[in-house]
Amino acid sequence: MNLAPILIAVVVIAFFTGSDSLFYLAYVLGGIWLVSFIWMRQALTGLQTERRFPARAFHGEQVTAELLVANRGRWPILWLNLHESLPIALHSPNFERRVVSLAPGEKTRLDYQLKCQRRGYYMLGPLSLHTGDFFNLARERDATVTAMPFIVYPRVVPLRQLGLASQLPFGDLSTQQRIFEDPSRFFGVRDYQPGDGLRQISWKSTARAEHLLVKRFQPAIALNTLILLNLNVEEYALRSRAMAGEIGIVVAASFAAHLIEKRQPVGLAVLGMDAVTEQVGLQVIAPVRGRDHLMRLLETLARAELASTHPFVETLDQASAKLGWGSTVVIITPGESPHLVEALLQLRRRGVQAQLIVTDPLAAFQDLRGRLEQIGIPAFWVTQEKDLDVWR
Amino acid sequence: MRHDEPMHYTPVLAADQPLDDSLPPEGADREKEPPRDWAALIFRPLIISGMVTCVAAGWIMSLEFLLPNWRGDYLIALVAVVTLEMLLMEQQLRKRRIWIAEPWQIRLAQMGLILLLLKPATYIQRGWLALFTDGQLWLRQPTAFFDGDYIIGMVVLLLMWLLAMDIAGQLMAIQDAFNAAEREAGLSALKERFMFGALVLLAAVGAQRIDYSAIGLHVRLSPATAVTWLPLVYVGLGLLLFGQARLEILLSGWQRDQIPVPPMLARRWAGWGALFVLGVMVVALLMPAGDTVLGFYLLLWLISLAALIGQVFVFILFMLLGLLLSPCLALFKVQQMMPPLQPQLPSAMIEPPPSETGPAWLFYLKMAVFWIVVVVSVTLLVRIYLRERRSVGGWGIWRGLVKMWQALWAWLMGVKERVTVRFNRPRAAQPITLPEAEPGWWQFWEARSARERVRRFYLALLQRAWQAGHPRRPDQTPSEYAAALKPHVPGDESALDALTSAFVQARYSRRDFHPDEVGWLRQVWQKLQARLRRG
Repeated sequence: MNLAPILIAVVVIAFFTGSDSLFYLAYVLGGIWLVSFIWMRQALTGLQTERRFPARAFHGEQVTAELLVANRGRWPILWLNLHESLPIALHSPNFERRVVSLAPGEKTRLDYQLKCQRRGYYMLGPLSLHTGDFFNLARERDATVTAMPFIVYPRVVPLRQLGLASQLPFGDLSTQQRIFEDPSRFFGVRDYQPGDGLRQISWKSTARAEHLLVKRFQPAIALNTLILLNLNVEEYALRSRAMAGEIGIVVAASFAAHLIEKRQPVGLAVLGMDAVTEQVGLQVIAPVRGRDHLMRLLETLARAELASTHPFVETLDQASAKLGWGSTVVIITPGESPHLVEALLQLRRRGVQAQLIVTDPLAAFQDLRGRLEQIGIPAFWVTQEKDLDVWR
Repeated sequence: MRHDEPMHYTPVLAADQPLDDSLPPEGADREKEPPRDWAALIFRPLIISGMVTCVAAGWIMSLEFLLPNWRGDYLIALVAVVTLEMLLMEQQLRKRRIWIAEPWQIRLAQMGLILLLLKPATYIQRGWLALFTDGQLWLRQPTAFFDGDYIIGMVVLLLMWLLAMDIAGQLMAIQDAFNAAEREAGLSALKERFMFGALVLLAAVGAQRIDYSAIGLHVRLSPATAVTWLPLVYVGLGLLLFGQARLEILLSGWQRDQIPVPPMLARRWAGWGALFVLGVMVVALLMPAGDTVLGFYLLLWLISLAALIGQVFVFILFMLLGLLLSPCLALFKVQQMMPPLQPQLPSAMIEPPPSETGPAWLFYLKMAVFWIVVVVSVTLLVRIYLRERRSVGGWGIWRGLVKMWQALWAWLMGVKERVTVRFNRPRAAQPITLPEAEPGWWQFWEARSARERVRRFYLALLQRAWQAGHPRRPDQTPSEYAAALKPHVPGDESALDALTSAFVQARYSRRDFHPDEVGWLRQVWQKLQARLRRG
């Protein structure tokens, strides 16, 4: 509402006529305009907002986010339009809107639910604030509160047994391949056989049994494992790339969680794009034990996106360069790439145990598995989560 | 497993104080039935009724100015009541979505009743005897029913009724607008009505500034009267109306975008808006006005304000002085002034009704027929009105008033209960503690008994000894403490023993002390005090 012409007219007429009524009228109109102007300048200066939510959540969780808005100023906020932008994957519709009214010192709270059905790195916000006065005399005011990051970890499928093999003699996981025995895992005694070393004889048991007995140890393998995930969009079929990429990430997260739970060092190499830094290429995280490391791996997987980058086979050497003899590489890729079998054979020759997991349902898997079996590399075809049952 | 970050805190242009989360979530009560908001229900009708009443008052006052023998003050109140009732009725009709023929029945019944009530209202100032007399006249001359007062009242009521309906209709048009263009059109129409009302009112106010006795027309500066404030009140109410229109525009936009709005927004808008406009108006009324230099008036106003503040101070000073001296007034006998005698006025003579021509039974028949028609008409109108009014649920306002009164009563009872509890609360026993500071003269003056004075001497000595760094342990008896203190009062050991012994007797026996003995103990105490002060 434009009050200026009326105000000027009233003032002019008031001066000409000397009418008290018109003078008072001018005062009222001028006062209304002035106070509205000051009010709008001060309205948002005392406003405080606060977002409260867990910064990370697991797939399938339902998280409640709180938006606290308080008016710490001396002027009331007649109406305040709040518009919180939200990711469509977490909240439908992709915003939360509300109109509130805040007296001086008053606070209000807005709750909204985030359904974490898709892993990813999201931003909650920005929050747009908009307010105005009674009569639309002063310019309406806007403010923006910056967005906050929110991470949804990829789905983790519990795996009880992976069946990954290693050639390292001293590890933590027991294996059915009784090649190497771990001297720290005493298992029992058996009768002496020719060829047994003197160090293996249990002298206390021998004295008690009055014949030679030899100590037995539990066989063990080490799983110094690197999970290698191929998210090069060029190597995915157009029709299945979204699903195959996601299932690859789920497989990688499930393997990582399982091995970390078994207190094994696990590394991760992702060929794709980091959604936060938008860096495209190979990102390698060295094998480390511990739950904190798992969180780091899951966060990396949450941020991973398909992207057009270098051919996967070319990065295999770079990714596994620091892996020692006897380590294991779990390769998760959509299907066969040119020279993939040859590259895996090279790994095998370096003493690195490789396992291949194919995630594209349209891939020619049987042919690939036949050729890999010839060189002693196991291959699995996981196109949906229930396919992970082979390890459960 | 879950990583909870404690808080993401983002101050927006403001200070940093933590926010309390002990709040119900906004919109948590959205699923509940919203309470009946009496403020939103009655606020708009009150505004419109007030505006229309201002316009009517302007013209009625002008008519009174032009016709010195005519008084129309009752019409102002009638316009206010009638327009308010009519607007509330319209609101109810709208709420119940009654659009077809029924509203006209209600409106006709309403208007008929109002016009009927208008007639006795015109006799408020003339007196009920005049109504009785004129009632007899209407039998012979039914046209006498429509006298000048009544016609003026009818015209004013009908015009104001139409004006109020028009303004309310424009406000509703904004509410029902489908798009921004329609809302803007509605707002423009509302502005036009406002300006029309303002011009009508200003014309009425200006009519009073014309001196009709002169040959030529010229402006006559009259002192400030109620007419001076009418435009101000009208504009204030108009601003509130525009505020409501603005709220409607915002609400319709939010409704279109499906944005939840708190139910108390309308109430706050009404309350804060009224406070805002009223505050500005009060300040405006304190400002100088007229056709002279404003700064001069402002200066005079400031000086008078300072003088007023000074007067207030002087008044408060004299009031306090008067309160202090009021007991002395009882010494003087104040003679009550007798009220002045009122002259006895002769009682009004009741004019006998003029003699009727023709037989007496014809007169009574005519009268009976007339009053039967009137009573039947009134009964019919009232019946229709009440039936329709009840059917649209228009009595919510009365229920609201009853609820308000119940709430007020409950609040008053709560205050009474709190006051009762506060004054009946047993006082906690005051712990007996040693005086923390050296007793002043008033404490000794307070200790009127000799035993108490002796006890205070000893306690004061303890205080002094504590200040000198020789505090008494809680487990020490007076004798033990005296033994411990003696090394610090060399030469005055006997004085210390005497004061300790006197204290024990004053505290634990019924022995009374002679004033001379108290005086001597006082000297002993002062001596010990001086010793301890010297260290």
